[in-house]
Amino acid sequence: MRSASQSPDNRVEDVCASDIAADLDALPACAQPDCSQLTVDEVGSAIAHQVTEPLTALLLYLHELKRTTALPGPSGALPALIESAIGEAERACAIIARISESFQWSGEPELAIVRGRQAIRWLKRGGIGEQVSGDQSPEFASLTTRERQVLDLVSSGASSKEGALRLKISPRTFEAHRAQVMRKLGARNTAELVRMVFVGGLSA
Amino acid sequence: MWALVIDDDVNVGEAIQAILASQRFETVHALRASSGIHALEQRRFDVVIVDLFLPGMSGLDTIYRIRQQAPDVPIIAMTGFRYRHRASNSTTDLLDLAKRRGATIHIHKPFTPSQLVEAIGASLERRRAPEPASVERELQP
Repeated sequence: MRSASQSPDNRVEDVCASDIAADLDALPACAQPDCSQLTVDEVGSAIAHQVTEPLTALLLYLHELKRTTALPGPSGALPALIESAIGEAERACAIIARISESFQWSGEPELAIVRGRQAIRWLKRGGIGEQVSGDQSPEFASLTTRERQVLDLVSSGASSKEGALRLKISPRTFEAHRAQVMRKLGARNTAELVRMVFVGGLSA
Repeated sequence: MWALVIDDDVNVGEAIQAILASQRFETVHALRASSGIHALEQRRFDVVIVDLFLPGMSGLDTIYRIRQQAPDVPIIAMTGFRYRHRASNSTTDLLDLAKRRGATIHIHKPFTPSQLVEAIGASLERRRAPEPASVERELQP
């Protein structure tokens, strides 16, 4: 499978100019841009991007739900409700598409990607911590300060490497803390952990 | 059939995995470009679905690396970023760039299962066809 040659339709003229993006990610949080260094367009696009992610998952799940409930067997009012839910999800998707297309990026697409990623990182860093620490369930109360920091970072989408960098610990230690948080909160995987934070399932 | 999904959003990856399971795809979900490329070294995939905004390495570079490693694999580039380019007033520049880097086809988030399945079908078809044509899937409100 591995080959150095390129097929004709996959010819690549320009080499990886945006490797600079990797360098940007390696910067410590204090060296990352804050909101004032981002343009309105960049922040707007990043917000729309962040909302689009859960909408994508929601839309996929709803359609899958519709498909599986369409199988033979008693389902009562479910199909109509699912149809309504899909309608609402698609309405939200259309709204966010219209919003995001109202933002403009000047400059090269390469630069737009790098700046867009910076804006997403800025968004991920902010706001979510309070949501986590506001949960007063017994499971949450059992977390140590370090474990809460790890949960904050995991729920804001940080990878082990990014989280470890922020907390100045090794990725392995970060992962060990994450495993401990999952055990205490009864989450089977990271996705469930993130869901617990966002839907308040910690007290369930 | 095997699919590799490279997306840093855990839940989107899982949702895609659920849809592909119904299409009899075995899916490997990589949260980072580096783990995706590592997965590609481990086994052969029938299709790779990659998000353009990844931590550590941009999706464009990821596509380039995948293309170097697996010249024949269909690559579907996806993004939730839509913006109006000031110069051309179009939303396609980013995805055009993805194609130049080696993506077979692109798809805008959010998409429906049928749009995803269609994109996979088209990308597999494209691999067999010598002259690629432009196909863009948009979610109609």
